[in-house]
Amino acid sequence: MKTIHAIETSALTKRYPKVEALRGMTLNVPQGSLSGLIGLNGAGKTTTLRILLGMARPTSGTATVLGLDALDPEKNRIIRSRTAYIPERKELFPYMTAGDVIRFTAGFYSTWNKDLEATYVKRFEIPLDRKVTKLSKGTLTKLHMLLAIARGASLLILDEPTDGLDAVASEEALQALTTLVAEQGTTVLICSHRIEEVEQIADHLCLVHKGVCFKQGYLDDMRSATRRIQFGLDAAPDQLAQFGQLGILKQSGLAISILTDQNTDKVIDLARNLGGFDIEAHPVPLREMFVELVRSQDALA
Amino acid sequence: MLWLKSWTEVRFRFALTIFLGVYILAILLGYLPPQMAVKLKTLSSQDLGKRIWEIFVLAYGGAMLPVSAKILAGAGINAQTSMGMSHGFHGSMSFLLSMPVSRTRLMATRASFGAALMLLLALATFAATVTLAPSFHVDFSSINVWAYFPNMLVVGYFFYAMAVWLSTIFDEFWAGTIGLLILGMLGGYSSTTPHNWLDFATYLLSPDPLQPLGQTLFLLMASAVQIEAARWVVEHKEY
Amino acid sequence: MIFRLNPNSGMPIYLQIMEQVKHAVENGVLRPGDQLPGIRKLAETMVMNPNTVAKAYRELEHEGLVELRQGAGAFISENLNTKVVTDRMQTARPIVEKTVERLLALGLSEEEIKRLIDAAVAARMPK
Repeated sequence: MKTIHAIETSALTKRYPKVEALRGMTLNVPQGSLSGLIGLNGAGKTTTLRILLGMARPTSGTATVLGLDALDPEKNRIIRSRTAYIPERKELFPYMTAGDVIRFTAGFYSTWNKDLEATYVKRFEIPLDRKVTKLSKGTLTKLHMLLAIARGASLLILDEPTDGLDAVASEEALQALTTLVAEQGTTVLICSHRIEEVEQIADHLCLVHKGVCFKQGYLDDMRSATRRIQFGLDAAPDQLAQFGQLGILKQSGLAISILTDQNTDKVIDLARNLGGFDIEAHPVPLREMFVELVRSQDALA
Repeated sequence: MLWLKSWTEVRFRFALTIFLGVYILAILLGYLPPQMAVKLKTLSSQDLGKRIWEIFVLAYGGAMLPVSAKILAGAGINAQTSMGMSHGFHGSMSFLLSMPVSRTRLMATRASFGAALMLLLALATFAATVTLAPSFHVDFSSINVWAYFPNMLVVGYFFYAMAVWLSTIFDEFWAGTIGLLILGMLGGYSSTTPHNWLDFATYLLSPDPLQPLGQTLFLLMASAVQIEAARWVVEHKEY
Repeated sequence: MIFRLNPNSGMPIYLQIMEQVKHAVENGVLRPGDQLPGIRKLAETMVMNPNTVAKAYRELEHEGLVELRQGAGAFISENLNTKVVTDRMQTARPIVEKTVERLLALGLSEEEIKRLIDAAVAARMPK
């Protein structure tokens, strides 16, 4: 059964005079998933989001959102009528109060849910009469979350949605997201540096680096396939090279560690055959996986 | 809701332009006439009135109203602050552009709101000047005052259109600075009375409404072109 | 039934849920016929992805441990399969206890024994 994708990009490139922000970004976000978009600063995440929302145009490539061509201005407007966006810059309109901004946004969406609005005004403790310029960073971010959730959108695109939120507030915000996905089947794309938070709630990931998505898939598949295998072996250079083919190799004296994706059995068999001892295989947290993969991408370059 | 947003952005600026209007009225009706009456004793009250009217037309129509136009104008994309001096585009722009509304509509709403306020301002200032003049012993009776109103509006809207397209390209600070620079240059040029279509002084002082017709059409076309240029920019620029 | 889930360990969350349900059943914390927390409720309480919870419950149903009743929720199976799981664990327990005793006799510490067993399990975790 073919997966329906809420977002599909194909070979997006974006060239600025001095820098190539995207070099063939191809990513797919399954409908109904909670996808994490993870990458370093400058990897091309925000540029991709801006193209999806019609704020920037790619140099080449295609992008489809909710089945519509995102590069067509009129279609993009329809896309935006079914999408909620939390931008990286959280400032809102000067001179408006929080209540004004809520009414402003609600005015554009026929799918606006007044019950959700009321629930989250209370839960997030939004001071409706206060000017948005006077709100703390955390409250401002929570206001954005409210605006995203109450919209009745089919797709949420969130750029650093827990920015400025303390531990308790983050948990509340993430809970609001998982509840939304559970109750409405909304697709959510989160772009965040808080890898542990993404790991907690995402079921799908796109890892990006230097303008390209170098790995994407379901988080559970990645978790099952990726292992760090450690063992002791007095290995000769050609033997190390063999291990190097199967994963990312680290060596210190007799201690050898290999981060592998899909090759766990091969590595363990090879280690045994060569006489390795004290062989251990551990699951790998996302942060470690990501950092190692990015470093090896840089080493390949 | 776009109208509400336009109002929140423009209300302090509107207040400022009202203040400028009151200021010029105070000088024009309160300060100048006694001074001029003393210096030009030989003139009849009607002739004195004509002189003061000339000053009003040039000072208000040629400077104050265009400046007010620049203060009131906006393209609806970049959030505006009351001082109008902020650098770079405001952080709220991404949020605004993610709304399901075309950029043309964003611009059209804000631009027409400012234009409507400008019409209100011009009417009020004009009417106030004409109505209050007798109380200050200024005699405009020999002048067909409202005949000068259309030309003043045409010039005002020319600079309004310029301010709109400048604010689609530049941030608040540069749009304002460049706009005032151009106004100053054109004003200076006009003061040499070259009698061509860029001569605003002669145009404003024309006692026949919308004459010379050629110049009127030229200025209206130039305004339309600048608005269309603004619309083109907002649709194609990457913000 | 109280879950202790670690989303940052690298171990799939649905497996953690399944494991803890099985553990609860064999210890008697959950008995045949008991209801598990609803998918949405659990996802909301634990702040985890509801698809993950759903997957765990589906797999448990597949293994015969849990029954998903339309509109009512997830319940521990009343039938044989439950007994099979519990029996399985009861057979396994003495095997492990004997192995641990033998390792202790070799002079290994508690920590060393745990590490050996963890490593052996991790090397063979299901794909």
